[in-house]
Amino acid sequence: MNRRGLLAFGAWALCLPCAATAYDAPGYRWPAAELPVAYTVNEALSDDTSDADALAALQMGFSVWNALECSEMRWAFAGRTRNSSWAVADGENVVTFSERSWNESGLALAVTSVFSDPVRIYDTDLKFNGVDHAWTHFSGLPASRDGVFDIAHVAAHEVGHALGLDHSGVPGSTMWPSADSNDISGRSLSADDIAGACALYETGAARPSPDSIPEPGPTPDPGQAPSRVASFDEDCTSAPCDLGLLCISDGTSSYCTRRCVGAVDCGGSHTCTRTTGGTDVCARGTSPDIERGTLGSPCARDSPCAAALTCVSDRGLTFCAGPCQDGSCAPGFACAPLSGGAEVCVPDDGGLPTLGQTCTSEGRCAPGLICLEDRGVRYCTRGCNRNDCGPEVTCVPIEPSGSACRFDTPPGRDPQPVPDSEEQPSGLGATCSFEPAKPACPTGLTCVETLALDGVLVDPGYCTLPCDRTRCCPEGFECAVDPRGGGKCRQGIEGEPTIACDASADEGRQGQIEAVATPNEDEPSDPLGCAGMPWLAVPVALRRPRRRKRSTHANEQAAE
Amino acid sequence: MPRSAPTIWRLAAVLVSFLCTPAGASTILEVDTEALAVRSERVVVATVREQLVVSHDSAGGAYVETRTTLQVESTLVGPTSPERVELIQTGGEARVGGRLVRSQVLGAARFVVGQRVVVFLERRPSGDLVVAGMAQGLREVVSTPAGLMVVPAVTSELELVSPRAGGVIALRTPAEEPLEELVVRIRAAAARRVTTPQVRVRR
Repeated sequence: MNRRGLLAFGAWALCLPCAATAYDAPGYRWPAAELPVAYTVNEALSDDTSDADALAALQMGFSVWNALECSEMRWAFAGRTRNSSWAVADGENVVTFSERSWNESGLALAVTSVFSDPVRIYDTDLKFNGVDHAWTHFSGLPASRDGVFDIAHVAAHEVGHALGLDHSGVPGSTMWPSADSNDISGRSLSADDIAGACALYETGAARPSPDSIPEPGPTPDPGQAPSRVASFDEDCTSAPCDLGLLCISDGTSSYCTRRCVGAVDCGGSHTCTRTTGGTDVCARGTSPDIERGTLGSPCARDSPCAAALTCVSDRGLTFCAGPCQDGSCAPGFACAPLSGGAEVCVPDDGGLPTLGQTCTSEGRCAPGLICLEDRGVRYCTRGCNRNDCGPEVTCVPIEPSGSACRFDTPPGRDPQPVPDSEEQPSGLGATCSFEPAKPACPTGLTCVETLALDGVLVDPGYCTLPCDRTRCCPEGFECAVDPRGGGKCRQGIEGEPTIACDASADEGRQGQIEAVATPNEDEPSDPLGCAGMPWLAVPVALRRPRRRKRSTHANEQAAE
Repeated sequence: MPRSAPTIWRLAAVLVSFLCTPAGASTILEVDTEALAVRSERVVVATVREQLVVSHDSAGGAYVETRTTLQVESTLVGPTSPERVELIQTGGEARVGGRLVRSQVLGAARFVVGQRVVVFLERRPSGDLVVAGMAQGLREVVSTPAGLMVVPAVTSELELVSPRAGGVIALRTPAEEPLEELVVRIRAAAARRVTTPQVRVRR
């Protein structure tokens, strides 16, 4: 290898840790001794919005990172400044708007400078381009105003970098490297953003669910004490915990608690429990669920949902859904009826296309979803962090980085035809698993696994093909009834129901959107009525239309 | 910001660490090759000849910039001269006041001496030439058995923003493109520039 090649290899090798998948941190951070990190805001801000709005939006970009009890990182607003320097290590971390001249590329919206050594950040400045772009502070959901950008969203992303985070590979997260012009998602952190910040600045407190973090307001002025603090077992979403207490989340609520050691008594209503962060804390209940999947978050065999939530699979994508209480759900969620008669709260699509549906002409999807162009079809799907998409869906890399769930058969397209028995595909019937380290199926085949209520694997995964009355399985295989609808080609299924194949039958197939619920083993509620079942095989289809207005639902109930 | 007389440091071993700067981001509009060509005053195929890191230190604080000299091999868009282009970019690594200072503008185009590149250049109102689209405007040319290929821009330090609401995400595709094909695309896009007024997004 010549010298240039050696140099290139060295640079590549050094860069390896920098590769972003899920949250990533380049390895440097603000020293603990310098926390909170003070920042100032230049006295002249955007020409496009009021000074008060621009300041509030900038402060929101910083405050969103301050709301994490699991992170010791804190930004402190140190007031307005006349300093407009940028990329100058002057000991002042300044945010400026350039409205008269901009010497970076005109395409740039905001640029961040960082002074650092390999482990320590010691100065950062943030500059917004007011010369080439228009800015606003969206007060609520964004209107469709192309070319106008949300100050708070951009600030939150840039501040994430300024505290040492790299890009995330999880679409929809604040640190995902792509956005659109009226994106405001950066105002709230995703689980991945929280994990990144809390790993860099870990306090030992449990990581809260994204839903439990209120949208932040402006950072209080330095020295301003919070008006109220929460005591032991009190809610900590709207007030910080008292001295010595930690804010933890069990997926349904966030509350203040204290550390415990071994068998120390936490009181009759609490149990000393170890969080996934490794800290022993007094958690509510006798069998606490700390940091299990929260409403809307992905769930799987090894990451079950929190108590009272149900792991629902919709078109193979699994997420935690909660029971509807009198037809109402948390903000951002809506009731969806199940064929069994119960209802669960699923992410509200806001009238936009949801999972597996064709994107709007502008490429828009329901909140939390992205529009994926795949084999000539544009459909809504979600990001994935590993192969957690479910059957008939694969986690694949996307541009510019990260991964998304890709349907093996694009929505609206016919599935791959089942080959003739003479053309039995290699791998049919072979063992497989969704675990990344275990074997997957060859292209064209789908891996099917069956999970028990408690998430224990009761049926080893196998590679299969879809079948029904008109699509026959290859010789040696039978069409076993798939609890989620249709059938799966399988061997050795004595005693199990099968579908008789009649190739001459001319029954049109309809695209099915299905859900299979996997209630948590210690779930108090049982919206699906299957809590006592030894294993899960209950097809529970979401009825269409899935979305139901809360008010309408209440009216219907009253009428009934 | 007052600055003292510049102290010039030759970029040498520190180049590796500068190359592999910890990622972070600046936020920028996402544009494709054609849009970059339309936007650029000049697009060149060039070789990176030299880099100098210049540091300024004063009571107001430390400031570092990197001066990169490009030797133009061919001009794809815009004026064919001069044949040497100097770009001044904020950031770099230098010893200031006895200590090593690393300053980064996250998402800036990063050059390596000896590298062969396609660079999109835009001129700012101040008269300075800058890389259009920050890191999006720098494409490295590599020699392969299949001929000269252009690798994608390294945008890992950029938050790419679609200029419009919504937006479609593509599956990641393999990445190298023959230099000849890129040249054709750039020239074709630039030729359309005359009839395509540039739309500013300012309200």
